Amino acid sequence: MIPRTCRWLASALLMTSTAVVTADDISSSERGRRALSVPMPALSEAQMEQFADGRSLFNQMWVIAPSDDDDIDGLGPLYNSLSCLACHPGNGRGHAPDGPGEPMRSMLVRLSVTGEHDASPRPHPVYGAQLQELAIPGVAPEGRAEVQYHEFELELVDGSRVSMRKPDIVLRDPGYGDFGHTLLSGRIGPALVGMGLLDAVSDAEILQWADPEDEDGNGISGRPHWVVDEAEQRRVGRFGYKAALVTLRDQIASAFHEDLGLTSSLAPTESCTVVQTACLNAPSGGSPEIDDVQLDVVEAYMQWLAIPKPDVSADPELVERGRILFMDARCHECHRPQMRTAADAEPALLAHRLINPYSDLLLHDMGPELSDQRPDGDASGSEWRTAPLWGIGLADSVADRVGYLHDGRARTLLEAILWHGGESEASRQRFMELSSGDREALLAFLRSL
Amino acid sequence: MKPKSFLLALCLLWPGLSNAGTVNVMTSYPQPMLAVYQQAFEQANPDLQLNILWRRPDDALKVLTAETSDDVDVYWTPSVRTFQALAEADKLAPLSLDNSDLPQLIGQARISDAQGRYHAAEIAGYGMLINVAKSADHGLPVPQRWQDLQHDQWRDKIALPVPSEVGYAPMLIEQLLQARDWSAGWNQWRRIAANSRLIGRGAGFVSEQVLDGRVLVGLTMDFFALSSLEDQPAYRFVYPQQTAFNPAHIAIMKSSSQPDAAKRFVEFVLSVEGQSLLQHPDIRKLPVRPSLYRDGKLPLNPFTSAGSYDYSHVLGLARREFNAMLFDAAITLPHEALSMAWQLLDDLEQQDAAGIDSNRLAELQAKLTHWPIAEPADDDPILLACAARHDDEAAAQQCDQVKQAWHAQFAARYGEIITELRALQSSS
Repeated sequence: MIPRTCRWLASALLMTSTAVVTADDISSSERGRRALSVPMPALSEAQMEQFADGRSLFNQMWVIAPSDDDDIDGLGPLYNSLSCLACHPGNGRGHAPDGPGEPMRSMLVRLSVTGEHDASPRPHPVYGAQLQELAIPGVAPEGRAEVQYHEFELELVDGSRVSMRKPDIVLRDPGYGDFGHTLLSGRIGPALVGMGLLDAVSDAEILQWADPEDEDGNGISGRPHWVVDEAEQRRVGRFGYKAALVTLRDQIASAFHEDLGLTSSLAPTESCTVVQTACLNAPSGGSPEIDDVQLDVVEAYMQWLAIPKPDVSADPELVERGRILFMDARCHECHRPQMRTAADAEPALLAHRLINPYSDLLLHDMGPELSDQRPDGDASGSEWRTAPLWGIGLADSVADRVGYLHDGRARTLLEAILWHGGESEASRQRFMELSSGDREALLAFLRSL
Repeated sequence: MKPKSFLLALCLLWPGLSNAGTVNVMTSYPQPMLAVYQQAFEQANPDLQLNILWRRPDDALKVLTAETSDDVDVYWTPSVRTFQALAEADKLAPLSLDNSDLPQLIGQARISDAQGRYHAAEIAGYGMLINVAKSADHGLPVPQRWQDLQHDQWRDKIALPVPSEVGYAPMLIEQLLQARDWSAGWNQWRRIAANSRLIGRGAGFVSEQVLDGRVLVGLTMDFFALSSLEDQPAYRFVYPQQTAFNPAHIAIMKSSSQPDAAKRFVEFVLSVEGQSLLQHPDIRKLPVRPSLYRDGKLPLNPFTSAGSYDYSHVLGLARREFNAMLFDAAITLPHEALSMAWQLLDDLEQQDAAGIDSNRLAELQAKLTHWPIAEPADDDPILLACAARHDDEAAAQQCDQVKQAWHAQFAARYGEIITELRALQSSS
């Protein structure tokens, strides 16, 4: 851990200006519909070809097996969507339904049951780790998740009122018997910004900012999510809302497996539980359905997506004021403005880069209001990985509807900030005390990212 | 289990069938377009949900013509040949729509089935995505016709899709062959190709080549280009005076177990609301409803601008594979030599005329622009073999052997011309 004084100094130095440190060769100034979809300018012709192949697969609508198009078949038997793009429109974030009558189109629900004798929670014995609402012909879908909201208003110190909504997820139409007492966690698709660069950050770089015992006494105790990988190595998780996955490749394979029902060398068996016999006996699209070359190009696509450059042009003074307020409210204690990728990271284009993810990739207790009451690996229900903020100002540009926070309950950045609790309670209080002008400045700073 | 019992069990198990409020739509449209229609349709019809079954057209045709096909209510996709085949196989139900306000023709070309079994649901046009700002920097005027791209000032500044690799390219090539004559059309493509980078992948890749600044002009379809552009004055999409419009269609399957629900989706797609969705920034296709052109916001009204436009889809589909094979033989495989020959010829033409044997140069130009392959008849065995190459190994071999032979012929000719041009160059 960096000593308290040094850490504060490092933060201050990092935040002394809105300077963009992301180099031109891996970033983009696009702010429109394609803002999160363009390749890094530095790509060679060969890398561009990989990028294009990966993009094709990322955008691909997958097909139920058997099919003449055996390069793209194997969807399901149980699945949540037909393509990656469905949950990440424009490579941005998904959204939650606005009420029980609307199906989940870019959101899913994770499931688990509590372990016996205080053991860790485990996937649902019948339904698995994720509710899959869709199924191929001949296989029953697992059911349907509805979101109901408790609407309320929050009053800020200056008297402004903000409409908020707290979701309650209810499972309907069980396809394989009663759901029983199941722990649920709604998850919208996250934005896909800088995934390769986050993959290229070393464990040591993340651990520099960890402070699990809050030794610096600032009320913030970020801790790594330690994950033991297949080689029995302890690694720092960094992908997913709970940082439960270590590498980008793990994240991609997991999404293909759980969300689309596609097997790969990293997840070689279909996503069916032992009691889902029709699912187990359904036609397969191959063994595996996604081969390693396909996995390679999707990984390359994620790696080669350009990082959006911050844009202060709308009102530089307002954005600068917002940046200072962001720091004053100590948001940057968790939304770490800068980190460095490893010198030996692969691919070389991403190595030894100073980047601006606005995340420490650590778990923080966000308080009971944001808790899903569902532990995930070593992370408790109330612990969440600090969400990277780079590109967050482009959310509305790349998609028609967006949500914020893990379950999309927040419809705006303002609502998202006001849901912060736990370790970030002091920052939230500070934000609530701001004048409307200062709040707008801080939001303008976020929108500039 | 007997087949009928199995099918019944399947119907009971499949959510799309167990729920009477679900319309099962088979399509090959991309996710962004489907997301827009799915949300709008379900919002307008709260008692119905859209269940998407995605298949590429050839795969869909196999499934939809199989004895025990999946239960599909609506087929909706941009593939004229698939609808023609489904209609011929008697798989489509009469639409019985009130479509009196929907035109059936663009110019002289019919866009919907004369027997009312499938209806045009949107239109996409071919054209040029141009980086006008950079073109101006190079002193290049904005091209208005395909022919404008033949000038050597466009050398290495064009992205041209390869028809054997890029799905929309065969019609791009064919439309010029039909508009001009066979030989003139192919010569024009050879000349444009000599100035071009050939793009053999991803339909959206041509637009990207322009937007990334790798080329100044990309030959593509309007929606690929326009969905990539947002108020970017540096770029413009131009429909050439002579171009082609490709209609996509929608139909109700004869086997649909819920034709009323299916019809509601078809009517929604063709309604003012459904057609307006085509201008969503992720879609950008042209509507089939003329009233939507009245405000002048759409880039082109094909119904009023087509004039005497006529395009035979029957002819185009019949020689689609033949043309793709011929394009590879004459252009893709010997592309370096083709480009080099034209470059040498252009350079010599621009040299001081006094130092050049102009008669010899004219002979070589005539040799380069001589098109040696005759237009195939409907029953040409090579045309038929190429048309069957995806389903018949022997036909594929026959088509490929001809391709190799023609490639050798074209490569030898380009090689000879290069040698003679170099000799002319050194003697001047």
